[in-house]
Amino acid sequence: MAISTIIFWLVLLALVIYVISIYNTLVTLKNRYLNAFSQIEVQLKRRYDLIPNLVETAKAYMAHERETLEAVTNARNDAAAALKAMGSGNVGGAEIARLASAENALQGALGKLNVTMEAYPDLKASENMQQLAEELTSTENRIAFARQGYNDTVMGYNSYRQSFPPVFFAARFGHPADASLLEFEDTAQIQVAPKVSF
Amino acid sequence: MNFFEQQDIARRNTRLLVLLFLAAVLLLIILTNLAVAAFMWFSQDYNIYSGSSERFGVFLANFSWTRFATIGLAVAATVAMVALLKWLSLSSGGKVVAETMGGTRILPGTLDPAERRCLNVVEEIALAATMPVPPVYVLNEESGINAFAAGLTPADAVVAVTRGTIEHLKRHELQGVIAHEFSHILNGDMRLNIHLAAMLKGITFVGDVGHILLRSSNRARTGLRARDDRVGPMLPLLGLALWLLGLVGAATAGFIKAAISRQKEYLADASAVQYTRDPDGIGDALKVIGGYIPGTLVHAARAAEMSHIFFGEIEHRLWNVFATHPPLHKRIRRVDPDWNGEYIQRKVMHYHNRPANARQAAEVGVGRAALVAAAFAAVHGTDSQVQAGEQDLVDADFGPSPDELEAQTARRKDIPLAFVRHAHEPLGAHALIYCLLISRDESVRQAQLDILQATGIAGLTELVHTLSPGVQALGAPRRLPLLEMCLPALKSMSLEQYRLFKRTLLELIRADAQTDLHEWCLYQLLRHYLDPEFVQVKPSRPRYAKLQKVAYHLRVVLSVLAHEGSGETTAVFRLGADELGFDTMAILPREQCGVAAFSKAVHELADCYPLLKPRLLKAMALAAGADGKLSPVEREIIASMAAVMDCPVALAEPGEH
Repeated sequence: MAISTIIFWLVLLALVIYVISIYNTLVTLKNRYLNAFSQIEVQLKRRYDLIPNLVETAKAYMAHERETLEAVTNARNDAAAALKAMGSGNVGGAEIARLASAENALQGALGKLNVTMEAYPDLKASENMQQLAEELTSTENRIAFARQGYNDTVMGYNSYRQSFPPVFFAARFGHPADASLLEFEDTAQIQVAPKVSF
Repeated sequence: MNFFEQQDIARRNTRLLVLLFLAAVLLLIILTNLAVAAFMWFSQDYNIYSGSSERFGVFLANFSWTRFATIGLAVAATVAMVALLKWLSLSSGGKVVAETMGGTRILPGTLDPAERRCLNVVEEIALAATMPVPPVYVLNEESGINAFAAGLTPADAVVAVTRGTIEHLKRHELQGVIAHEFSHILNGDMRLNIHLAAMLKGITFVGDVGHILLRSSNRARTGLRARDDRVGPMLPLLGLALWLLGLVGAATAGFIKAAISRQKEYLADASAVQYTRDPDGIGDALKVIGGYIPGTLVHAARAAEMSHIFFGEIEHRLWNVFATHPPLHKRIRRVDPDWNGEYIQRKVMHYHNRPANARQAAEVGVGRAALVAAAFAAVHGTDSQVQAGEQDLVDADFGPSPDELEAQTARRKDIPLAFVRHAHEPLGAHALIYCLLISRDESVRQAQLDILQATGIAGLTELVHTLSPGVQALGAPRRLPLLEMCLPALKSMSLEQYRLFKRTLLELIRADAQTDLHEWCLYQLLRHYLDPEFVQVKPSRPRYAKLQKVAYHLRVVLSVLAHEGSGETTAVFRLGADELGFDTMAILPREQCGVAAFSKAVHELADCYPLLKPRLLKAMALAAGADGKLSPVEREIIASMAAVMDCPVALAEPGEH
């Protein structure tokens, strides 16, 4: 065989290997961001599991703030139900919207509870409450970090998909569109500073 | 600050430096090669052409590329060999590094708020970095603020922090520090460092050889042995050349290695900002270090040689070019360009009230003894006492606290609460397992307690002494659940501790000069569950495809089961044999069913083909359950057989009869 033929086949082989590696990288990156998304759900669930403990602990000290506590419990139940509905496989726009609004309500209720708790120094000083506060802080962080981790992995996937050689193959290999970054439903609301009223 | 851009710059610089490092190594090998080649020619031709002014011309005339290449290969191979050896010695797993540095693992159930917070932070950052959660170690003796990550791949990586870090830093600062360490894990910095260190060792080896040659020539001159007149006078020259090359080479390579390490620190700082999206976290942590008197110093004996893996410089350095970390103020400026140059002053914590570790463990052991005594009394039916005990221990106003969960487990498994509590921490779990082996015979018991005393673990003997009557009172039915409960805590041992643990187990078993069946079962179960945590377990090689080939071993095993079990002996044996298709097989007399024979038979059965094993075990379970229930002894036998054969088997819970 002539040298040129050998070189030709070698180059061809290298090209094939390169294309295979593009395919595999796309699959890896896609699975990575899907996994990152499921992490968010895991962390949301963790928070819903923690809240009943918080309410129970608070109850012992602030019996006559029943309304605030009930509001938290209800919001938590709504959000948990919304998450469960999503868990059964139907992730559509409507479900995400429902979860987002339930989450908003829960955030509001928790915020109000936090303000109310300021008036109960005994409660804040109790060891249980301090433990719970640590767990809650951690969970809030985890949710934020899980979201951010998801966005980072999506960025990795999208940049790879759009970069020069892969962009030719991506659509053919079953990666027709960019993954979407997590955004908040209430982008407009966030821009406005929260109102504080007494 | 744009951290993605900073990361790109740091990565590019690192790549350049690594190339430079490789070039330096290559150049050194070539130079060494030249020196050796020149030496060979000169020493050959020295006498013949002495006085000749054309020595160099002769050298060129005799030059041949093949000889040069041979020498080159030899030199390169030597350097590579030394580098490989060093690499092998350096690349131990993360756990080993953390433990040699004096770290203790933070267990998931820790009640210390600072450790709890640290564990939480590690799990948070793992989410942000989309990486599995590594084990966390704390260096309890260190009050400086420092941390490190060790391990070659994300899978065996660990994160370790000093006590000063977790107690002195605020939460967001701790996040920054941990995120910095995660960057080291994700970017493969540990691996790169080990590669560089190994190559550096190869270079210094060239210098070492030169040094040895220099000294050997001294000896030759003092007349010990002048071997070769022609080579003699040239040797010190070669030695000197190699020694100088090694010296200069090591200095250059060391300098480049330090520069790479500094770039990696910048990269890790930038990544810390990426993971936390909060430049104040890492920035404030660095500022606190600047204003903290103990600084980042670490005193552990082995820390110095691992200085590059730490968060901050671990000792004072006189010369900046060899520093593995950039100066603090430069690192702060990179994350916080508007920094006003002031460090954060925070009151230094003192650690007076931390008793020495060993004494503390002993105290805990004795304190628990009272609790155990109460539980022991409870086993014998004094219900009121255990009620009181639980009231004290369980928080009234807090739902499923760990305490409450333990109490629930205790009720479900019918094991005293105190035992459950012990089973969940390493020392207690050790003690409980040893208790299962303690003999009722007084003299044997004393010998066993002596063995435990000899292990030198503080408080262990006392604990075993107080626990063992209670464990014996539990009896056979609850031995297996107790053992299973101890497993998670036992898994947190270090390799050294595990070796000691296994050795002690064997000594305890042999204390009465004979091995009981239940001792054998216990040992096999522990070995099966714990070995994979510590050592590479070889999977068995299937040899037997047909049951007929292991007929004798089956006969032994079934006979043992029949003799030891609760059912009618021959009926049990018949049922099992028929189930497996051996109609003519007859039961062995009891004398032939010793533990040794049984053990051998089970190990042979372990080499059956995988699909045969469940069938075997099912037949055993069926035979044992012939009389309508599975007795605890039968359960133990079958479970440990399943363990040895490495084949899971589902047995009905004892409570379901």
